[in-house]
Amino acid sequence: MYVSSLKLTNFRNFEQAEFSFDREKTAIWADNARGKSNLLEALYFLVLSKSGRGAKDRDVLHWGADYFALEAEIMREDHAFPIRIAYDPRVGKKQAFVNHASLPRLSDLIGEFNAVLFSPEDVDLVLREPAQRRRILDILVSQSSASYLSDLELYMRALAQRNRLLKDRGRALLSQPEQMFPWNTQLAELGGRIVAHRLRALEDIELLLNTYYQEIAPTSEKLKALYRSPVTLDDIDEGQSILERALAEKLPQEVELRYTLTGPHRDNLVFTLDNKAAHQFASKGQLKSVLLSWKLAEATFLEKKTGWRPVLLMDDIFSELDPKRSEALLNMIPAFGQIILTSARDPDLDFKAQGFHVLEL
Amino acid sequence: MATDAINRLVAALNRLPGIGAKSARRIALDMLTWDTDAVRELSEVMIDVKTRVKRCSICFNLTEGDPCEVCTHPRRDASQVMVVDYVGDLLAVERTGLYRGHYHVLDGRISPLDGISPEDLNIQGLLDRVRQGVIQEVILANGPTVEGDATAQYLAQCLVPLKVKTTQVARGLPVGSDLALADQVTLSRALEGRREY
Ligand SMILES: Nc1ncnc2c1ncn2[C@@H]1O[C@H](COP(=O)(O)OP(=O)(O)O)[C@@H](O)[C@H]1O
Ligand SMILES: [Mg+2]
Ligand SMILES: [Zn+2]
Repeated sequence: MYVSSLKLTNFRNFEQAEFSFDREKTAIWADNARGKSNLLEALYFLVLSKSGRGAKDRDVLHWGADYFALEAEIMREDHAFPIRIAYDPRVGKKQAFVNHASLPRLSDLIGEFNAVLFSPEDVDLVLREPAQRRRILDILVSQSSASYLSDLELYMRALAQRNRLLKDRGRALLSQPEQMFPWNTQLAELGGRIVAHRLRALEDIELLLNTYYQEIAPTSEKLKALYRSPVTLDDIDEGQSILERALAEKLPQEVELRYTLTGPHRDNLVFTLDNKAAHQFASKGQLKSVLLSWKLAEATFLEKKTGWRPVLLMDDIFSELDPKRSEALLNMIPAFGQIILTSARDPDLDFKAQGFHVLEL
Repeated sequence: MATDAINRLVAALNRLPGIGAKSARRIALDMLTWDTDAVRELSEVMIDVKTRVKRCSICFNLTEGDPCEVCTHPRRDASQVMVVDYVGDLLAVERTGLYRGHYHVLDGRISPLDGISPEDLNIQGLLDRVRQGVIQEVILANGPTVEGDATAQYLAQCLVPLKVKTTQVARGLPVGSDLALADQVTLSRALEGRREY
């Protein structure tokens, strides 16, 4: 699968812009602050219909503009189809179109276009924060399962309802179990499915993750991804009842703190290097290798799940990775599908010689 | 220059759902061209509706007589009661013509975020009806949203000690949508595929 063209209207710094991409290798080459990261963000927007960096729709709207639109041409085998996403804050609405037909729900867009975005620039944010680590896991699972994102959205809604009840009633809830019951049931049911999906996906990429790490990192520690949750791979089918029990157990603490203490929104994804937690002990260089291994494993995982090679979007890797890691990465590229990378202007880098189609901003 | 009377009419029409300022002005100007009798008739039916239409004291349906036509209909099956969130849902199911039992309108869904707790809904009335012993099956048809599901689960829990058969309509409906917006085919499939709680 590859993206052949993209047209932007009022997206970030692009008021009106059109780009076309090589079916294999494109290098976007420009000075800083020209919009290289923004362009990759726009391409990734076609995957989840939202910013992969977690920005709000209003933030990506070109300053002072009324609406934004993205239009891309995607090629799958020999068949081309357009994806269009339009957002208009005046009507508070974002809509996605595939083949010019409007999708009933934005989450229906998932699976149409697959890509993996690697931006080493925010590696600290992505790997040091538990919430961000859950997010990269959610991004991976979302693209492989149509129902996952909608389960996640329903879970967050039910969680907000339960937290509100805890906030409003506090200790009174200890004598009103019937008020909690419907929310516990929903959180446990949706949460059980969410955790099962996460555990299975992690099981699938476990080996890949360490294999890529060994190829990229200059050292040879063993990389693992551990999922810390009341539910484990062995009792994956009892997820719902385990979560129901965990919720009941935590209630006395929850009525004091007034928010929900257990469930997939609190589970922790921990990367370890030789059994030491990476977010605590790893250097920035090691973290970048961890994130890159994760992204390459994600690409391979998605190809297996969907049958299509996802597009690799790599932001500013040459200034962020040391030469050894960059070279290891460039050598691995042929194993993947289309790649679109960005780079600051640097006379030492000869992309054309490497077979890249160079796009200047 | 519009007169004060016209402005008042425009403001009143503007309050109707789906009528913006522009449409309100167009309707007001159009009304000025009507016969006085036609305008009088419109204003009279509006007052009439407001004074005559009440809620059924049994099922909370909209009705002129009390109990409503559904509750008093001789050939409707009083042993089945379908629980819906809003009157609009009841009307949607009636339009399919596929359901022959009785109803119970809750007038909302449990939603702490909107300050709506079970005590704010017509739940006590439902439990009282079940206790009278005529009802053999309660069909939960709450909307397919997180709040609709929570409401259904709350009700199912309240109904357990009353030992009445409780079923839930099948979820052929798109998540997050309303019963009232579903088409005939979807609704009839949902009714046929209900499962026991
Ligand atoms: N919503 C927006 N509207 C207009 N310009 C924006 C918006 N968001 C970011 N920018 C501008 O985009 C530029 C940064 O683009 P970026 O893609 O990060 O550059 P690069 O990756 O090439 O260094 C900055 O100049 C910033 O002011
Ligand atoms: Mg950048
Ligand atoms: Zn009635």
